[in-house]
Amino acid sequence: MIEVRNLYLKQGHFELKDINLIVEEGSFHALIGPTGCGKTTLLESILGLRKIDRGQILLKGEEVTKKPPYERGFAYVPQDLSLFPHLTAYENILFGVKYGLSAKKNPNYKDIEEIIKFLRIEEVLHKKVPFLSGGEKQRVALARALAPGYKYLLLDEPFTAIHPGIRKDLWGLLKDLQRKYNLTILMVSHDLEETFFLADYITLMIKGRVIQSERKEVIYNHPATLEVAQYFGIKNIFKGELLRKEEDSYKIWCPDLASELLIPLENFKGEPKREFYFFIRRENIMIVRPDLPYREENLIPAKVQRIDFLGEQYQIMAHSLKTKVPLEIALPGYAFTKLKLKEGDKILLSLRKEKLFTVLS
Amino acid sequence: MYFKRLCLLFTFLTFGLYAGLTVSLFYFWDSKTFFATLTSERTFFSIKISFIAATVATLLSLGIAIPVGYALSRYEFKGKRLVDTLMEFPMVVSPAALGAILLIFFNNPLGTWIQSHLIEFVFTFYGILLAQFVTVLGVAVRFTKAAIDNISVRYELVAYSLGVKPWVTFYKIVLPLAFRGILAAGILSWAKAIGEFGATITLAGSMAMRTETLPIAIFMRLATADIEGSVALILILLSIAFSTLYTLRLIVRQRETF
Repeated sequence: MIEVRNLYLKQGHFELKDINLIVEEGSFHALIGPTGCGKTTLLESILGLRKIDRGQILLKGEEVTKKPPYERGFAYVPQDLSLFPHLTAYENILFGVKYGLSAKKNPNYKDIEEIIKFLRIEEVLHKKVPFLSGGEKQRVALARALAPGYKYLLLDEPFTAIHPGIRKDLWGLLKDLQRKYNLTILMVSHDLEETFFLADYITLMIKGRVIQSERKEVIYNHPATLEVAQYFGIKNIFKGELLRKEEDSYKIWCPDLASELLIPLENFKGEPKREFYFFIRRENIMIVRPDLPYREENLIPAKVQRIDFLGEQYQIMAHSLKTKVPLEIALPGYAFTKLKLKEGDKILLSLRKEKLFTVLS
Repeated sequence: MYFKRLCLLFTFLTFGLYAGLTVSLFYFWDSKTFFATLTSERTFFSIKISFIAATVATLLSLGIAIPVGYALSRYEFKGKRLVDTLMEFPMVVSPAALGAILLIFFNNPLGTWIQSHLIEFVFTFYGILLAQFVTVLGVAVRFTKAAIDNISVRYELVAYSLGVKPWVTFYKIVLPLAFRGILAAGILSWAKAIGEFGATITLAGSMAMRTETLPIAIFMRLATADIEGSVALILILLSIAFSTLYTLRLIVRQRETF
């Protein structure tokens, strides 16, 4: 387990303020946030590459705050990979093994061969770094980080420079690598798709502070603040006023949509407040087909404003007929074809109640 | 296109300036004098002393410039700007003034003590070495720092994360990556040292067969109106300097493995 306790660091005008973070043993933890929020600075502080003003960094319960980076025992892959350009792929992989502290511990070359095989880089070992492709460089950097036998891997946006076509293959490979070697991974990322694909836990930082740190399912459904919800790209965020509790739901009034809506009890995290924000993701808004049976709840009459083709899906921009408040809807291609929508159409939207969630504060 | 032509024009004009000056030497060419000078013991001594002093001064200066350049490139410390500025010292002070500063230093109590108890610098070979070393150290530091600045610090951070200590990281990563830059610093330092005159003559004097380097020998010949002899020595100096620099460049090109 990697633990950060009350970490504080000041650099010029920038501060990391009272950071507390726990990366569970064997978990994949993503550190996300807008540019300049301090996620890379935090990662480099954990690695010992930046001096912190106060706080503690612990690895497996042992404090490593005062240890130099070469004694901490974290494997590291930076954003630019920083493969040593004057060496071959194999020399890069063996660098930590030959010259690092692990060299004294009689390194297990059989394990290294296995990592090389697992990452499918046997064919490129003799190549010098400038002659490797983006994906090969990525895999060599991972092999180099793990070769000394470290189990705690810190990654700083490692897939940024990789072609989107092979990025997902590498995600899968990294996930398999983590399972096979029971790695504990902390990864800085700004890519939400990558984060949700890879991570078990997500920590969101904004302006040098940790805003929310939860399992990914929790943070997905229950963003702590409006800022968090907006960071996750949630567009349909509305004000709500609590009216009463019903059997398995709360009845609420939504002034933005001038409608009464139902939200399941379990989707209210914490004590319900009288006024709050709630949201529905764009892919969870249904367009009702009058010719088919539908639930008579959470229905909003709306008008189609604009239709955008996004490849796998269509984005429908509509506004509520009662209040003109905009709603964003994502429709799969097949659904869009069936509905035969065009701009200006009047439609009935169903905000599926099990998909309505409240923002925590 | 016009821009390219303009840049190339200035390039060839510069080349023409130096090549023209060199060719103009042949106006006073005299084969007999040239071969007599080339084969004289005095000239051989000047060549030897110039070559040894420039090479040793360059190696010494590089030995110091590498850690200094690394510190200036990688570390933040109080007074860094002042230290960095002071590295220009030998470039802003004229060589003669630099020699005078050294001469004055060896006349103060500390300098006198060094002279009488450690090494005698004034009017000796060590004086040539010291004058050249002080002259080229600033150049070597400036270029070594630039070479290290060009190497991403992240390579070192990654090496540390692999459990590699700073010494080994420096030796295995920084030095090989900065090799070409450091070699360039060495080449320039050596070129400056072999042609050094002002500081050397002020500190070491111009004693034949003792402290007479090639540039000093040229000056001495010129002072006695021996133009043909001066031309011969200038051509010898140019040949040695350019053949050494060219050989070094070839070595660098062969080492360009990435």
